[in-house]
Amino acid sequence: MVKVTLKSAEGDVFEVDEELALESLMVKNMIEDVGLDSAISLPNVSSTILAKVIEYIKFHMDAQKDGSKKTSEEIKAFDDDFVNVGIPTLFEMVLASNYLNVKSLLSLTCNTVANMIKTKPPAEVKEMFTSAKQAKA
Amino acid sequence: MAFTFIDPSDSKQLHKSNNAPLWLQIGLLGSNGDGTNRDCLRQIDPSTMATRALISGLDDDIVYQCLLRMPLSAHGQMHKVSKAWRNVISSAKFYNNCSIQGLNEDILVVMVYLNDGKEDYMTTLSIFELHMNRWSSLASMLCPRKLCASAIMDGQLYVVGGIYVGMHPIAEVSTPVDDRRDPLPPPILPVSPHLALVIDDNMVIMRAAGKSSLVLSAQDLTWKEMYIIALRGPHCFIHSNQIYRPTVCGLLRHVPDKNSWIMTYSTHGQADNYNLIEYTSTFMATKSEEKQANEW
Repeated sequence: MVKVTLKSAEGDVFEVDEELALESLMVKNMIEDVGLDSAISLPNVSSTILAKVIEYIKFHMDAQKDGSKKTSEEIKAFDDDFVNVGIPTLFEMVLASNYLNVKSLLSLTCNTVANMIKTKPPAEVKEMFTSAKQAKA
Repeated sequence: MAFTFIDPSDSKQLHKSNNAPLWLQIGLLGSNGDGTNRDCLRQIDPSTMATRALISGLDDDIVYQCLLRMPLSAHGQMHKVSKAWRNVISSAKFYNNCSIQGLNEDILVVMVYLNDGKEDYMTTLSIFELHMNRWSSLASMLCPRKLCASAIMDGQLYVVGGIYVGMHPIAEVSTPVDDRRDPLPPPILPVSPHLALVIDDNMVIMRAAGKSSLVLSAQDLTWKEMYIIALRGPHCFIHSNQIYRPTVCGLLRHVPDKNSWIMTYSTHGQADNYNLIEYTSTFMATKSEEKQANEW
């Protein structure tokens, strides 16, 4: 199995299967351009977020494989648990999935943000997203 | 069914003639969200973007992706969050992007017939397209008419009978999506101004001629005569393909096998007396309708 080396913003190195790395269209393009020899550096993605993204892709690749015993409930439970994080982390995941161009994760995280907006009155939405900024700053 | 808000600037345009709508028909005229074109994720017009960030901490085009995923029923609330949000949500581009990505919901269409101020006949058809959040006018029917029975079946508007001038098809069907209007075979019974219900892709015109109801099948466009006892009045409605009729003593449901009505929810808890009351009112209605029919 061919390995791909990914380097996060902090300089931490993640070694993953090529198959897994190709799920990110951005990494796929990079591999096509520069090949597998050097590490692919991802200056916009922190180590914690990159680890989470890899965990997400890994789970879904396993779930899609033939002979996988995971039910759709289990997958949904994983997804729900995966996005059950604070707003700052969620935003970083949205940004990372957009940057790495992982369609399924972008869809999941965007839907999560949409659900957060949906269930709240306008004043709370405003407050929520201003406090998100302060928490980040 | 989600029906949230109407952009006031557009609805004013509809009512600028100051004429009251003569008729209102609500129905689903199909959906165009087949989701085949999901690669247009990045087609966002920068002009619709406000200068201030929609959500601080996120790029506007990512927030846009999130907002596209909001159901229509939440759009009214989203308007109130900030000016920037309102600008995005009220743009036509936003609704286009929704449908390009297949995130839109079914098109709920409200059809309003307006008169032109001179004649009393419906001449203008207006539709409200929910996914585009706008009113638009539709070519009028083959024949302007009033007091007709109308129904929406399978994305098509069926109009039968009514009062009109000149030689025209008694019944016609229009397909707004293709902008087509076709005459229908003439009904087998005379149709006096009456209301229509839709059951199982069949248009049932209540009490079309005397006591009978007329049924038009949407599949083969054939007419049938059907006798549904005591089916009348503007308050009958359809739920789960069954006809319901509210009365003073409760809600009645029609049983097609026995051609009778049974009380489903009684307002006084005295369902036993219902048969007697119903029989009396049926009898009286039949009498008065016969009288009416003679007058016509």
